[in-house]
Amino acid sequence: MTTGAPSRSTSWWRTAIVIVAVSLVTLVLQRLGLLDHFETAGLDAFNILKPVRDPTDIVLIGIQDTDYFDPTLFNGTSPLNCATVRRILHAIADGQPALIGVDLDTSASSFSCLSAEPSWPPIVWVEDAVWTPESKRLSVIPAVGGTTGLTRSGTDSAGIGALPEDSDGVIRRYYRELPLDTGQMAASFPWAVIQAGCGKHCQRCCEARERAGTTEALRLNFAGERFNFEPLSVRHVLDASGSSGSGGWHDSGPLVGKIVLLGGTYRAARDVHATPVGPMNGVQIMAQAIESELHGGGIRAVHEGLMFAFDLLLGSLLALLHYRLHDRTTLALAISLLLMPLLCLLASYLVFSTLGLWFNFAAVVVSVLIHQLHTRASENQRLRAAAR
Amino acid sequence: MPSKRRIQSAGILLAVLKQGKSTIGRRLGQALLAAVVVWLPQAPPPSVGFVLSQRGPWQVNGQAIKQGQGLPRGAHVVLATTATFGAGETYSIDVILLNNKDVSLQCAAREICGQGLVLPSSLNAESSLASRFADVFQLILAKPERFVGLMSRDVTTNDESSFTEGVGRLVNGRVELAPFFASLPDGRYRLKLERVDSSGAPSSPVNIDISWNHTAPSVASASIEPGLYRATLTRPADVTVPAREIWLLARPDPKFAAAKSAFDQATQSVKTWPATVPRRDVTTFLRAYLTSIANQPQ
Repeated sequence: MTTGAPSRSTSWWRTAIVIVAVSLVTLVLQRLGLLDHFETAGLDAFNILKPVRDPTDIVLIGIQDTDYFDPTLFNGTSPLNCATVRRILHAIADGQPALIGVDLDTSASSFSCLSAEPSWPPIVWVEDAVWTPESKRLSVIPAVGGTTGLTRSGTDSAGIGALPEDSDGVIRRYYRELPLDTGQMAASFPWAVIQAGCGKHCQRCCEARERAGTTEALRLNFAGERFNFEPLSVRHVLDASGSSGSGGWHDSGPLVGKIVLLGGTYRAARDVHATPVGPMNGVQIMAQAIESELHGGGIRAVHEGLMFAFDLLLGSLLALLHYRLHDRTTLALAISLLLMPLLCLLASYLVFSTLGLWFNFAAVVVSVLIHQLHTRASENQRLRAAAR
Repeated sequence: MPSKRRIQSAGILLAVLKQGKSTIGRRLGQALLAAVVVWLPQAPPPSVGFVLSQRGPWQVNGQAIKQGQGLPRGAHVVLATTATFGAGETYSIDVILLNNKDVSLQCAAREICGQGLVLPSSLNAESSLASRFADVFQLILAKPERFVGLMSRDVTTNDESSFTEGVGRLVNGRVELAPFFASLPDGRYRLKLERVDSSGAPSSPVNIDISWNHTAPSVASASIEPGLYRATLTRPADVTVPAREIWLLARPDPKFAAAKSAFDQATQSVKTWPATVPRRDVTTFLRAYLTSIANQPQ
């Protein structure tokens, strides 16, 4: 007497159990953060693979080492000379940008001279903040001389220049808003620039604002437009604005209508941080965060429900394929091997807006394939035993 | 030369017009088409750099360029054909790219000036797919190496800082500290005062917690004897802020005015010293001067 073969419905139930179980395990691993390393490795790899494009909306201007030690500019002295910073802002404003983001620490009272002129475009000042691990909140150190009032209320604004660091010391994410010790939420510097840009006819800034807000960290999208080149020196900006016959700078210069970020790239600023594409200055990372918003809002944080749903879908698709080709093992296997990476990449793109998080879906498709092959092998073995 | 966008817009409009049956309508449409081609505003192409300086009639696409003007990617900058040669004229142009690179040309011959210079098509270094794959393999297979400098770093003090060597006024045994805190940001500080002069009885250090606020400057004061002190300032809430140390001479009125006047002369004098004099030498001089004022008979 031979044992009866499992019925098709039994087979389907077993497959369904495998799909659900592996999807749940993936969800738990994701929640525990055990997939983070694979996620970041995948993201980093795809960031590097993507061909680099030049930025189109942002111009970076930096205080280089030569500028910092120039006796006519800063003479190697910190905090930076306020009058010189103001002169630089005036030269930038002369280039008719849409707005200016100042990524310099202006909390010292010596910066109280930084009063903006009415003709200047809106300025977004970066503010430093101290993180308190116990309360998980930030204490803001006000910009522009350490006072809470900005020079042109209603025109200028401020944003916190703090980005989270991953456990491996690499900066990959940013927050739109950050919690303060006052109980309120405050805009981060990149988000403050986006909000200010919307008021200056930056259409993509307004589109970024209209996207659903999130309190979770957004991953910086280093793929595409990237800022890992040296910013324009302030010396050239001063020369271009100050030279006679510089109508070209004012009317048709490279800053017209752009978002200009001013930062310090001199060594004494100690503002270099590790990113997936190599070390970058703080102002470059800020620019990357703003570009991420302008081009889709960064890489979405893990939406676990959606990820679980796609896991179930991919597993079911693969199971259906094997069901249809139940008597053509080789073809089923070949198509599976071709489809699996494509399905993972597609699911990663649909769920997270990036191809880099494919690993989140690899477990379920591999598990279903293994289960299907095991089922076939068991059936073949049973048939051989029955034939003897 | 109409831009590609204008041509596309015109093409679409032309296709629509061909559907029109009325002659008047067609003529109106053709006039509108001409207006679109000529007057439709187009966004300028993004700049890859700008003209820092130029000598001579330089052009891009037959249009004269101005100093400070942004130049698009791949722009071919050439000298106008109207430029004359032969009398020792030298022409030059200096373009600064937005990645801080310098592209320049200096020429005195028509052939070289006629070649002009071509701006790069990208600010980023071009990389092949093979090199990008190589970078990915390195990311996966190579051990990452990053180094951090583990050393204490000085923060160069600004000459304009108010927390620097000086003479403090003693009023009813309390020294006014507001002038020393004027340039400091609001917040909580701790000041330790240790006597350094040989006059007067030895005393243990005095620690004062100060809540400094620009809007209420009169709150900062400390009760001490007249004399020369080493004042060490820290921020208890932020250990990342380094301690700052100055020497402070506390004097009551009327001796305060004379001491301050004498010390002001010294500070004015050091401001005329060349910038190459190390800051610590200036500080040593000022402290020695304060010591000499403190040791004067009272």
